[in-house]
Amino acid sequence: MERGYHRSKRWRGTGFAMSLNRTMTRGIVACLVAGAGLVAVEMSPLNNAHGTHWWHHLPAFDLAYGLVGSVVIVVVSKVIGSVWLQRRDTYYEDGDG
Amino acid sequence: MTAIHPALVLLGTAAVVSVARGRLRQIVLIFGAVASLVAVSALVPEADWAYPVSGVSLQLLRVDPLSRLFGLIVSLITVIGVVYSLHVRRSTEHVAILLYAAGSLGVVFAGDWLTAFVFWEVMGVASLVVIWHGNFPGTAGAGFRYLFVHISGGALFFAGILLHVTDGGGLAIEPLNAATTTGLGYWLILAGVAVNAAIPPFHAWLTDAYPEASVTGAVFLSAYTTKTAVYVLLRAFPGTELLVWAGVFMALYGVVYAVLENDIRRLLGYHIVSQVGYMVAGVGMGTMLATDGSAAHAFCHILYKALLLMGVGAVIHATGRRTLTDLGGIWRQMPVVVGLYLVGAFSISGVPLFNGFISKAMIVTAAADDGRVAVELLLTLASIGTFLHTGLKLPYFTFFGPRCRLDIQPIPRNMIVAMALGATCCIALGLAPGWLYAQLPSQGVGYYPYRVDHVVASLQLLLGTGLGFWFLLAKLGGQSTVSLDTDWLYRRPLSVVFDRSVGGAAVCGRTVQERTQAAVVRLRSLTANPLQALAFFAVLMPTESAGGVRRTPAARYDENRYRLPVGTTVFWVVVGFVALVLLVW
Repeated sequence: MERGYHRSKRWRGTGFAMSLNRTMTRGIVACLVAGAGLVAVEMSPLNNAHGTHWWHHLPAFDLAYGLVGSVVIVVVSKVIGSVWLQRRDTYYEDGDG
Repeated sequence: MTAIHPALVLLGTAAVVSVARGRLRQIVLIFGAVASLVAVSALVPEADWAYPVSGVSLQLLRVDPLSRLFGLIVSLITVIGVVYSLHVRRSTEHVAILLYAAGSLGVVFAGDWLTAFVFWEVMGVASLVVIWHGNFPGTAGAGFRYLFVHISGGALFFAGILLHVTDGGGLAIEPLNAATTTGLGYWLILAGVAVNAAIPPFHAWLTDAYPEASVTGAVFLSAYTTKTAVYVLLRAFPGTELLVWAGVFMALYGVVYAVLENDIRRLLGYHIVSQVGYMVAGVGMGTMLATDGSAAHAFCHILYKALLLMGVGAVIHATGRRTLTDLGGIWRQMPVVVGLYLVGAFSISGVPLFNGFISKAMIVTAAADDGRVAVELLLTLASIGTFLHTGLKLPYFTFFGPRCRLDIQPIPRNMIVAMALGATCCIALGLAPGWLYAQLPSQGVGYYPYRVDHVVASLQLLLGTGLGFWFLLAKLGGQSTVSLDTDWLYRRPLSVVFDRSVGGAAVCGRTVQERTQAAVVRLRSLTANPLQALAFFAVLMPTESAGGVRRTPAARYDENRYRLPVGTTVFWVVVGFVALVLLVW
């Protein structure tokens, strides 16, 4: 009964909301371009891989791990939070359960 | 004995600061903090202060590479933190800060458990006073909960020390294991240290209390308590397998809660838990690279975490707001703060050329070298969460996100100077890690962080996280919620038990008091008139002389009326004495 206090909806209908998609798109494109450059360096003779496990030698592994890891962290945390952990911010002051 | 104990320098400074005012106090503060840093720098491994007390030898000063390293960072952050807090007018906060720092140095240089415990408690009391200098609605309650947890932790620690010593373990702080101490003593010491290291489930005092401290106090709080605990773990528990998994759990636990957190300093508090997790895991692995990595990461962490808390402290000072939902779009008003905060954010995230990169990687590499695949991957996952929230989410929604109409107050110049000092240290260590590695107990085991594959892998990880951030941006905004943590236990069920216990004890006490008072009132009337108490002996009572008629005792007692002549008293005394002599004879 105390779930769902999402305040990010305050963006709706604002100038910020309209620019958000543009900002996100630019951020994604910038990361992809830089990531492609890093993968190229990784596969070039410049790279002197010293990894101890097979994935240390897998091209773009860390790029993918960063992307998947961040999604997993956010999704898992949000689920745990909404199911068990999150209460309204006056929970302790109000003294109700 | 030419060495000066750095803690004494700070204690002396605290004494002077308590009476100094205005500019003089500021000068004394800086001079004292710098003097303690110089005192630590001047220490050599031969320095040793040992005193015999009641048949045992207490070692107040033991210097080796590990204690010197921690002493250096504690005194360095004291200098930076003192500069950050120069504008504070309350001398009590400065005195508490100096005592807190002195306690930390006392623990770091202690050679025996008893000395370490005494300074441990000094830290606990001083840090509580620092917390209570916060000016937020929740400060007092958080301070009391902090007190409750740390008294409990201190009791566990001391009980463990007593068991350890009485079982012949010796007072000297040495690595503990089943062979040198009894099981219970070992576990009690570990539990006591785990409280200060904020190892779950003993961690909630940190995220509860630190955000309620003043913006200046939080900087010191982030530096001393958990890191001295890591130091003790490095001394006493290297190679303890349990700590590997406790550390991994901490690293991920802090990250998960940081996703849900709205309070910017509590978010950073959860990242303290997460980062200390790396150090604890390194201690648990126990290899030379891992323990050196833990020591190096503690050193770097103190610097960048202080910088981060100084940054958000500046935001709170300027805006009066402390939650993501109340902040946003203020980067134009405080560009210098944004830039300096980002140095701390890049450092904690392990961006190459910043200090987190040179220390965190040592622990992850140690896990890989040790064949701990799961540990390596999970610590790397925690690192993703760190960058996602401290490096991207917090600065985005605090400085760049949806703009809030906020009245920005000017920030004292000393705060900016302190942040610049912290940022300089973070970058300098990132650019030239050799100095730090040379200070480590094993000189970093020849570790070199700037290999091409390592730099590329780290940058890929950061860019992948950045991609995730941009994809999930709309879901990452703050929420006006509080997340239940283990402090719920003593804020809710135990609080009810405590209230009922106290209430029940109060009712019992009140009942006993009322009945005792009633009994006393009755007894008083009897003692005021003993004849009334002995009414059933009324026949023996002397009679009124007038008329020779027996009467009941007078309602108002007059002792002169019934007093026997002196001669009668003397007679009975003599009779009693003779009887006693005869009896004895």
